[in-house]
Amino acid sequence: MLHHHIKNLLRQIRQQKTTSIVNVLGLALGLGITLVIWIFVLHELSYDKFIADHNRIYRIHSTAIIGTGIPQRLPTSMYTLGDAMIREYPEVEELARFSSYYHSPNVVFEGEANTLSDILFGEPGFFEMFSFELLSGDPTQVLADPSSIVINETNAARLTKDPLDALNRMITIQGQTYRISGIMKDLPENTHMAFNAFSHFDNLPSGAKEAGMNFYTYVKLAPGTDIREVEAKMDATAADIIRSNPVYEGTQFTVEHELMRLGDIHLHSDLVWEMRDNGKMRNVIIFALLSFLILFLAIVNYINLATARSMLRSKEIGIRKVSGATRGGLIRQIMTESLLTIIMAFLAAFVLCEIFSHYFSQNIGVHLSIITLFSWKGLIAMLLILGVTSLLSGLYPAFYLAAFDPVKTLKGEVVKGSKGSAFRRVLVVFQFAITLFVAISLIVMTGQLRHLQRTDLGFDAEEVIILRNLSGQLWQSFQAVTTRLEAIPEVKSAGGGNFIYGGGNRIDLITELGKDPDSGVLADIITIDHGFLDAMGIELLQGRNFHAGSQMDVQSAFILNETAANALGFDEPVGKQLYLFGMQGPLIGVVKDFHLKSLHQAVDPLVMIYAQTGFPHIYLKALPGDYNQLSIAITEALHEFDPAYIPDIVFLDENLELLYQQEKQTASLLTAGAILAFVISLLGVYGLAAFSAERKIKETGIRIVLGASLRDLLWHFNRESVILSVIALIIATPLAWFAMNQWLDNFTVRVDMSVLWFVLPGAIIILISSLIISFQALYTVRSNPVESLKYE
Amino acid sequence: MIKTVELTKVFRTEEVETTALNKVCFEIGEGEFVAIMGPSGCGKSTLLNILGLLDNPSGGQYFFLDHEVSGHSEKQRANLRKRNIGFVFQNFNLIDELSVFENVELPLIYLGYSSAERKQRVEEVLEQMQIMHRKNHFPLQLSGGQQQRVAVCRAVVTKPHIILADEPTGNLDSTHGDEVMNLLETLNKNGTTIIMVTHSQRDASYAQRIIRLFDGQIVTEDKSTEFVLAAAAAQ
Repeated sequence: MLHHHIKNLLRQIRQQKTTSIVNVLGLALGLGITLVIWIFVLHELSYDKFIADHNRIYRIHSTAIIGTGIPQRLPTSMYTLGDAMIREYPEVEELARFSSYYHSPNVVFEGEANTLSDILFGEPGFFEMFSFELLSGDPTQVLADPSSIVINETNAARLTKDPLDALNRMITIQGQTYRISGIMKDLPENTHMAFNAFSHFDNLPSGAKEAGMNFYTYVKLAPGTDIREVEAKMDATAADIIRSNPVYEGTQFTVEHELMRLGDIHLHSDLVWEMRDNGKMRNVIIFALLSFLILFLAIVNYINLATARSMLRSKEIGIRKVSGATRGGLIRQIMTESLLTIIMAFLAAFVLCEIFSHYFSQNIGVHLSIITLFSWKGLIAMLLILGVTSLLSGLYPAFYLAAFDPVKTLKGEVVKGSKGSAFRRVLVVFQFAITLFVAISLIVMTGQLRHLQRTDLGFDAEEVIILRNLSGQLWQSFQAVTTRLEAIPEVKSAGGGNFIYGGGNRIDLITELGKDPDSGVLADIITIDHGFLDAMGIELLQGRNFHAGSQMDVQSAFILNETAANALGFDEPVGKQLYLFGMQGPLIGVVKDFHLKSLHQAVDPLVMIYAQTGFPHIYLKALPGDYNQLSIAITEALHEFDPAYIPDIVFLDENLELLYQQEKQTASLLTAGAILAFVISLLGVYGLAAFSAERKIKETGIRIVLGASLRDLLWHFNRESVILSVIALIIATPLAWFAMNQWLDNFTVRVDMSVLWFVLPGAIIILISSLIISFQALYTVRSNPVESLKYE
Repeated sequence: MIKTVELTKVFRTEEVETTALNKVCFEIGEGEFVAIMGPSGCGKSTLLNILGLLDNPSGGQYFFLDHEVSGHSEKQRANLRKRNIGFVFQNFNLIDELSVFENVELPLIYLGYSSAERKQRVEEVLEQMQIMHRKNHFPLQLSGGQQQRVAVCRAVVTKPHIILADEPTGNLDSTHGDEVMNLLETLNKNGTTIIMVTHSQRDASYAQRIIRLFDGQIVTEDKSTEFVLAAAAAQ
């Protein structure tokens, strides 16, 4: 029987090439994008799941509250909390803490200057708890000696050609010598952690562990532990620690804790100080939905064509029934045909998936590989996709066709199927509505991203260059370095800052001296030098900038932004005496608000304090011109101070774009989605138009004989599609408006949605559909009307 | 073999109710060749559809092989039909996408015959009907007469008790028409019951009995030869 069905299907395909190609291609496109999106979804869901016991490992998140200030959530916690947990919490089986310390330390390997960034210092049992693969070294012993360090394969290969040759050699970091005790495989892509080397936390400077909340802390809990109970215990422990630590005396400082499961961090945690950019569950859901919508479009095409072709198959169904086929048998036959067609489409979809995955890998910065689909989760996903697609595509046509009355079909009565065509119209409206929804969403997103780029950020990002992660030698001679850089003719000014634009900052309580700490304001604290405001083009509204070289200003004078000055309730801010955690002095100036973070966030209160040296980053204002030449000049200048320094030069406006990476990813996937939605929907229009043109040859002949003009005929062919598109637009517009309004709520600066954004996709779909239909109609109209009447 | 008791069929639309068959009673015995005649719209095809188990009556009783089948479900009817009835249509009703062999093979597939058995049965019947040389051709490559011969092959391949023929020569010229009628006559002589709807007196003359319908009712039931003679005498 199967053999018979296959043969029958292949003959149908041969005889109706156009509709068959449209059918398979539409399904293949839909399935192709669905597979790629599911590779992405599976990738996002796989983060950290390879670590043994990941279900029992949690990261401790802290929420710090000072007085009545805004709570600050961090992915880190107090070092001393970990000590207490090891001592007093029986449910803690293992605990690992670590922290980064150096931005770009001085590194010497075998007498030559070298580089090694992203070094973590932490618990010696780190590699026991986290099963990152070691190419060499015993996880239990590799960090037993405090002067040992584990480095990754890539960096080891930079030091010695064969990475394993680096083993047991000595490396000096910031003047301290370590033995390379282990080589670890480079971290896989699907982990939220990011580091190149790991050493013992005894190497951190004294005091680093005593205050602050700088340690990423992970605990492995005994099976069956009540998480809420542990969280409550941690809050109580933290309160004890704060009470007994003189550093916190006089402040109303509380810390609350929560535990986040290791496997949830990537998609559910988006805090300052994350080790790397995390993903968002929302994006995963949006993309999964998008894949379903596009697949649905393809399925709609299949159903529409299958039911439209029913007229051609009605006789066959009648004969089969007369020959003894039961309804159930026919349903099985048509379902089998659908399954076979979908399997063909699936094979084509693999090829498309491979092509799409390259596009997405480039555009969303995540390496997507088709191999993911052959994991057991991937195979289940594929089976589900295949099953759902076959059922949805096959069921309706099967029941529709199998219900034909053989008495009528064998008499040659045309199956008009008013029910079938009404259903088809509903499906077309759905299809167009989904396409329009995706297209409108894309236009709004693109509009918003463009709007963000044009928004006045309160500073001039044009031609601002950031030299990131200076080496220790450059830190130490910072003023000399900036003076040298300013001597380059293309450099207008240079300034230092201890923060990266859009990154995390220190947050602390600023109060008016002598006032109750509860009247203070939690503010971002950044350290700058006198050149910074100038380099960034930030406007000083009142008072003065820090004086160059003024020892008086160092750590004892403050510049605030407008928001901070207002939050502190100052009418005449300049001259007020301020207090900031161990430091006090006058407020010397107020600057116009500027956006220090992405436009997702409002402008927060900001305090700027002064330093003359020790900056990890330099901000340069350049003249417009040849940046390659400028980069060379800058590198030469820096090498005069540190010949080993590898420059890390970025443009501020490029850095700004990175802040909207998530939105760009979404927009990039949505662009592909929208294009595919259009292509699939229009393929459907083409398939139906080709089919109906063929069926309407006789009718067209009669109309021509009766005097219909070309315009009449074109309108006759196009009318239905235009009406359906307009209905789809009416449905899609409010839905897209609502969804996009929700999305825009994520931004403090949002674009005004234009009516044109909603009308334009509708107009495009009507225009292209009309062109396709008219082209098919012309083919029919051009045929000789007399011949048309002889037809059939 | 076949018996109808007050067989009635009413078609209802929103506005009109049409009685296609009105309390029709008759019997057909095994091995008979019966023609059903009457003007267009008299209910001939409706009757044939009910006799062929393609449709259910609205009222009355229909005994098929001594079983009352008027209330049978579609599945039960399909089951009876594929084992006992062969159909021949005016417009041949072959599946264009299937070859001659495959068209004839179709009923055997639904009866669950093995591939080897199907091949044997199909080739047997194609030989018998002298169309074997066309077995790999498709219907559109054949003449009308050849197509109808294939349709007859398909009707007889399952060795049914009854063949129902709806205007079997309606689309054929007289030569091809006679050829098909001779085929049916031969089948009848070999024991197959044949019920044929026709407009043609010439075709009706092959039957042993003629049932004449008018407005859904039987008006006369006579022996074909007697009728022909009577008609000739009247002229």
